[in-house]
Amino acid sequence: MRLSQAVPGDSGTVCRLQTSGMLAQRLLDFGIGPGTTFSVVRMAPLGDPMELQVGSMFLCIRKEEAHHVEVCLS
Amino acid sequence: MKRIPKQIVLTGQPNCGKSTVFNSLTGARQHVANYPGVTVEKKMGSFAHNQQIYDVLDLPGTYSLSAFSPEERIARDVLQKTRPHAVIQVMDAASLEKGLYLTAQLLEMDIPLILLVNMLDVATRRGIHIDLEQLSERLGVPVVGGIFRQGKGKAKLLKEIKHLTEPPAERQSVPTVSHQGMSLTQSIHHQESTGILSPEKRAGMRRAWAATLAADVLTSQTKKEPLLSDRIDSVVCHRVFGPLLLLCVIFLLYELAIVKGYQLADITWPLLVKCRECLSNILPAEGFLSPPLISDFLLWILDSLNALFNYIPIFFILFACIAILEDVGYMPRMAFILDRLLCRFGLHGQSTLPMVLGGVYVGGCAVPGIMATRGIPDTKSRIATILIIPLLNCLAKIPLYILLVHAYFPGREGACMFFLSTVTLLIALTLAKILHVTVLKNHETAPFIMELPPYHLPTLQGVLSRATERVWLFIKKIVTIVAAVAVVLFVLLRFPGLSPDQEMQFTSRANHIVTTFFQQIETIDQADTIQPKDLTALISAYEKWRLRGNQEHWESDLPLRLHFIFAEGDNSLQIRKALRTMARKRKRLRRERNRLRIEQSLLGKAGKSLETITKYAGFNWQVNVAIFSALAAKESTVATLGVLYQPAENETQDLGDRIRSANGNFDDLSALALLMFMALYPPCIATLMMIRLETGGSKWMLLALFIPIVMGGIIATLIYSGGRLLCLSGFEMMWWVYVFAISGCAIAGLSDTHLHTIKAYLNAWRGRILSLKNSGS
Repeated sequence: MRLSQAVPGDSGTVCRLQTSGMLAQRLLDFGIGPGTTFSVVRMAPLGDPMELQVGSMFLCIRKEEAHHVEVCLS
Repeated sequence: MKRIPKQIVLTGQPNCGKSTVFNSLTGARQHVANYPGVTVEKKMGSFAHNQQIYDVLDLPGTYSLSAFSPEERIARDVLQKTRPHAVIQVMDAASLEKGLYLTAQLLEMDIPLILLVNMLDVATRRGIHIDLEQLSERLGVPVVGGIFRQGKGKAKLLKEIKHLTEPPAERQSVPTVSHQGMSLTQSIHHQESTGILSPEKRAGMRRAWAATLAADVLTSQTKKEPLLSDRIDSVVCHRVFGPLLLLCVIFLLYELAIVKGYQLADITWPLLVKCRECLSNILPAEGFLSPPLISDFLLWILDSLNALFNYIPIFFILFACIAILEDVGYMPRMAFILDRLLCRFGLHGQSTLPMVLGGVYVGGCAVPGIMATRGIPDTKSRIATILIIPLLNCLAKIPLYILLVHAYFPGREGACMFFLSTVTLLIALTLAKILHVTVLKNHETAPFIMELPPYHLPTLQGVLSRATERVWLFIKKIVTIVAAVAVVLFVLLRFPGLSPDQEMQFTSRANHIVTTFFQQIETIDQADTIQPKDLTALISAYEKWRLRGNQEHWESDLPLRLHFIFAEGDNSLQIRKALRTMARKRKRLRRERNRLRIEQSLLGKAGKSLETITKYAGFNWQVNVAIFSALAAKESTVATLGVLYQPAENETQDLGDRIRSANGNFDDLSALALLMFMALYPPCIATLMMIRLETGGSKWMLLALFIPIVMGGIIATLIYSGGRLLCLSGFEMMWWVYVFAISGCAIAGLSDTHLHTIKAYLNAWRGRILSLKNSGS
């Protein structure tokens, strides 16, 4: 399943990045790569972007970008 | 002080407390510049320790050195090319693993590194303990722990800096730096030599390395209570409270900066007026008919600069407010809340603040708005934001709005002002989308992944110093250019001037006024003390006396023998009466002369020759000249119109009535066309300079200049000629414009999925019609 389909309260692990180049690099810079555990904190008031917690860091990411991240929910 | 300064570079990820460390090291000895060609701030400073001067360069905060953003490219270049004596990586103790990811890249670069683990107090509060010694041993670089907000760790850091930068001969121990040929760098180098290592793979290795190392040196007591920042966010980013709070913040910002700023400007304005008075006192005195050229010229330039300096209090408050919002960490939240809406138009969540500052509703200023776009991480939406900000309602457009709306749309002022302030936003959003799919199409766009950093309390010193810094940067950049443009406009408005014949005519009329005055007071006692050379001083004293009553120093420039004129008594009264008549006649004569001079000036001629085109937009030559003069500063539009439309015999008519009665052609349709043109008017010189500075190129500045001219021209022409054709009144036309603007904006805001749906829908209908046709035939 894709990260963009997750809803607040979900948590899981990143399986694969379905992208390369700049977006992949950015995701990795923020610590999002295969094996990263995350939880979805909330959605923005208009439903997009979404806020994630990765480790002690809070990130927000547009669904468009989150679509490229394949995750397994726990 | 001995020896040449040592170069130290500070690096670190955003929100790791790097600027606190920088401030703590350098104190007040710092300055800000820009890296050439880009808009990244270059912060430099210096400090002395043990008789050695150290130059500190504060690199922009970057998550990595992957060279994808301008900040990262700069950080990378500086580290690789300048070979500093020491590099200090500041990291947030509470997120060690994230910081170590950057450390891995720094280690690969093989530079003299010191690790500064900052904000230990926050980590301790979260139950995180870091074994700094083990970390240092494993990395092979010095590691310093600290709480720099309280100044803890500075002494140790200085010791390590000294130790690392001492030349080898004076060093006691062999440097441990070479020891850092660590497992990670070794394996990366090894793999690189054997084959191609993809960036993703490399990043993955670094991440794994950082995770292992962090796990080894951390002992976390795993307090699983929600973090304070997260608890605040549950309100700030809430579905209902979030947008409400955002509105409150915007309102507060507007209230503080624009409203209070204006009140503050009212206090500082008299100071600027004093400056002008001082200058005019030094300069040669006013003549009866016209001021000497040199005084005229210098005062003109000072006036242009003063118009700008008047905004400094507003800028200062604005910049301080922005600094507070940045320090607190509200900016990314603002972007989080509004991104969905703005990204439809090719903008970014963080475009909100610049647009508010630029004047989304009535009253703003494009300069701080454009400066505030620095926070937008995506170049594409950043440039789009910069280009649409000038279309919003800056404060200087308001006087003309008020003038024309009062004169041509009486009784509907409220509706008109609402129309103007919202229609500009609609057009700006539409333009943003158009730019997004045309000129900016091929620009690199950064993925929207943003950290929502923990909330911080801003420090007073930090906020004030940043506000001062930015105001100073602004003044430095634009004073010369504003003065230069003022000179050019002066020349264009004054030359070639009046012909000798006309000049003689005016002189004889002036002489006639003077003669009449002396005839009137001939019979009065003491009147013979008044000499022709006193007249200008007498008139200006009279004006002051009339305006300010008796308290102010109307007498300052007046010889003592003439003071009786302003005393009680019949004689004085009669002289004053004659004086008043003369003053009024003189004023009218001067206005007439000014008008003729402008009409014959280069700018006036240009305005007249353009009339053939601009008549389709309903602009006559006076309006054309006013539009030209607005290029320097829009404040001058109303003033220029005031000179060009001089009052008739009864002076009580205000400017709006004068424009209306003087020229039959200029009706409410022309007024609406002019209003729309001014609403979309090209940015002032200060803004243009700021655009050049912030986009790093003249290309965007020129685009910002031409888009509004073309767009404003087309819209004004459509309004005037279209309205004429359809026999609509100005107010009816206003509704049509509004309907068009809303539809345009709605179409621009359609997302790709919407477009697909519409296309599919249309296709379905076409199919249905075709099949009907087929079955019919």
